[in-house]
Amino acid sequence: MTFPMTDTKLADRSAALSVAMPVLTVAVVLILLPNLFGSNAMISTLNYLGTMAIFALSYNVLLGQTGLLSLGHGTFFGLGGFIATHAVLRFVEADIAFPLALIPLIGGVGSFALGSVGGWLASGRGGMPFAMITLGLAELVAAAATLFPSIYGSEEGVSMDRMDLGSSFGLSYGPNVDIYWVIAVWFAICAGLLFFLSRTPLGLLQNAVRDNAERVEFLGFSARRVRMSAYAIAAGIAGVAGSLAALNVEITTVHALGASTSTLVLLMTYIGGTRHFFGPVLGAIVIGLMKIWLSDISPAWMMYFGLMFIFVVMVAPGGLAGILANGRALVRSAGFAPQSPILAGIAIAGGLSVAGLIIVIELAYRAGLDAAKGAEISVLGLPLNAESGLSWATGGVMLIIGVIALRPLLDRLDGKRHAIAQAGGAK
Amino acid sequence: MGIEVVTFSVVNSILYGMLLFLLASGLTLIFSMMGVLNFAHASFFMVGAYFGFEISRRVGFFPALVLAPVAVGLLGALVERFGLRRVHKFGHLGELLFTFGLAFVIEEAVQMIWGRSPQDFQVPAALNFTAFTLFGTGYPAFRLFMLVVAVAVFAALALLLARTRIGLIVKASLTHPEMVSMLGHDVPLVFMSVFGVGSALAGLAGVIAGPVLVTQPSMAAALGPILFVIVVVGGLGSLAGAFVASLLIGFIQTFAVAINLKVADVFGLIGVTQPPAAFGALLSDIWNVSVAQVGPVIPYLLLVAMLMFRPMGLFGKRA
Repeated sequence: MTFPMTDTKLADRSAALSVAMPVLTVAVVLILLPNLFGSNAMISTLNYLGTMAIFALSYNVLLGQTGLLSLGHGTFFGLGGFIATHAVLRFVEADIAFPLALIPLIGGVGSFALGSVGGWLASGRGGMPFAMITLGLAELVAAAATLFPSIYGSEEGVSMDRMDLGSSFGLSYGPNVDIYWVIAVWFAICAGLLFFLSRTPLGLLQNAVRDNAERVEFLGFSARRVRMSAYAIAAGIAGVAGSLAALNVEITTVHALGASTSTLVLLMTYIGGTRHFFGPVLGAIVIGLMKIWLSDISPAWMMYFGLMFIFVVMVAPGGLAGILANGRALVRSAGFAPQSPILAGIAIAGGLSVAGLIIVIELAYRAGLDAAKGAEISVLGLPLNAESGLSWATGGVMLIIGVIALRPLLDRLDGKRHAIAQAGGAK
Repeated sequence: MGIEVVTFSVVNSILYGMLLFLLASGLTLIFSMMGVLNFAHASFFMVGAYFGFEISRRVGFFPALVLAPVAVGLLGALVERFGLRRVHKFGHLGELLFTFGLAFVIEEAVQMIWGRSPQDFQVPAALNFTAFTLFGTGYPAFRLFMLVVAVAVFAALALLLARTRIGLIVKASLTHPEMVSMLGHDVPLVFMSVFGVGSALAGLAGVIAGPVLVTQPSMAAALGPILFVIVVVGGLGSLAGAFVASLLIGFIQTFAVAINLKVADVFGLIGVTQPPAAFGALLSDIWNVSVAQVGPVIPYLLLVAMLMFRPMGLFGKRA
């Protein structure tokens, strides 16, 4: 896969401004958030999103920055959580007043060390073999974890009380909002470190390995070491995220190590967009919120994740961040006005097909998995019935009309853009 | 361990190994073709089991044995034509991610249609008898039937690839697609067919495994990683390697379940009956580990060991 090297150009343009602006924005947003959303439920949502954002950022060191597809990144999230949990338990046992806010440092360093070992095993080759090995290592750790109940707990996991270490930094760690501040500061630290990494020679070498590993070898660098470094760094930051999750929910189970965690971070990062630094954060927020809210209103939420992922893979490899960036560039360009009627048509046809698809999927869930809940169902405000042909036809027709209408509209958009480009060239 | 346990375990190991090879052979062919492992391969296996269940419920098991793999093969061909071929331009990472997403969606779709609980996929009445009795224990005929089907498919596939013109074109398309297309063969069609046939083989494995393994939504996720271990251990792209590795994993997993031995028993032989208290809880964990518990771990240990000492796998080419 080839990626345009926009990052380095951006740095050349106005380094100071491009670094200062995001830093200020992130700081202001982090401070404002708990004041805007004060309720306990919202704070705990924010805590979840914060840990997932750190986790997704760490994953993008592998996927976006070094071009490595890891299928076992959840391992280090889980291991970080277990290290943090056991650290808290040990410090309480030994009566050492270690500040709770610094526990993620232990989880991060521990995961970094384990990640160095894993990286040594996994990073001989990139691409396909790398994906296989990470999958194998993750399965190995997950399968082995069940053999050691004294470390990983049995089904109910290992729990701790975050208040047992006492207060530090003026926080008692009782209320969720105290944990929010810990997560916010760690998010700022991790995001800052990873952003800094992406500008260092090592970060650029990782990009080079992503784009052409063979050439990197010819330049005298070891692609293996570069991959190893990316793997270990990603593992370390994932360990911080896992530790924060452990502090937030006060329990860690073997499921945190499992395939579902690894899948979740891949979905978040890729849907968010791997080519923009904050794409994974966007993905973590969107997918995290969907996971929390959508799972209440629809049994099909996992299905929507999967379809969204396939859509992004097939149509928009830049992810949500790529779509936003393209959209912004389009709106600012001179060619936007003549294109806008076609774009509106595409939006309508796309919306129609998505609505049709949602209706069909919701009806299918009601006819299959959730048949016990009765045939009556309300989808997008429409009263429907899973046993009525009319309901199915409504969704099916919307989907088909939308898809049929999209094709000529997309062709016309291409033609229009071509014409605009030619007119621009003629000037 | 008595001689009867060994005998039955050997038969079961070969059976399980051949079943794994039905899946691994398709996966390996598709890998040689696209350069990408198909994550959804175990999902096609699962879809095969569910299709087999639905069809055998309506028209009987033996029609299902033909119809379900055909349906799964068509599904696979459609996936190649309208999915994989379109993401090809994004490179291997795009293809890999596509099959990953597909596996995710198939698992959800199966739950959407059939629910989360296991299906009651029964062994057909015609094959529900004891094939032979050895050491006073009967061996089910259906298991023998599974073995026959798996070996027959293996032989047919080997003959097709080695002895026919079709096999020649397929093998040539894997290594020299441009040249084959110069000679007037439709290479994209060959690829679509290979993908379809590979999926159909997975579907067939699903139909014959459905009544023995449990037909449930987690069966793909349970088998998928094992398949990857097989193709990596055997050597990526090597059919012979996949065959040996399938049998190897079959033996390891079957015998791990059959051996009733704990770490504590081994120490019991030398007279140590209690774990030394000095090493604490971790040692007492290890003390209580049985071979059956270690069974699921061994394939992955094998994978890691293989990658450390022989990264190209048993029969793979040096990278």
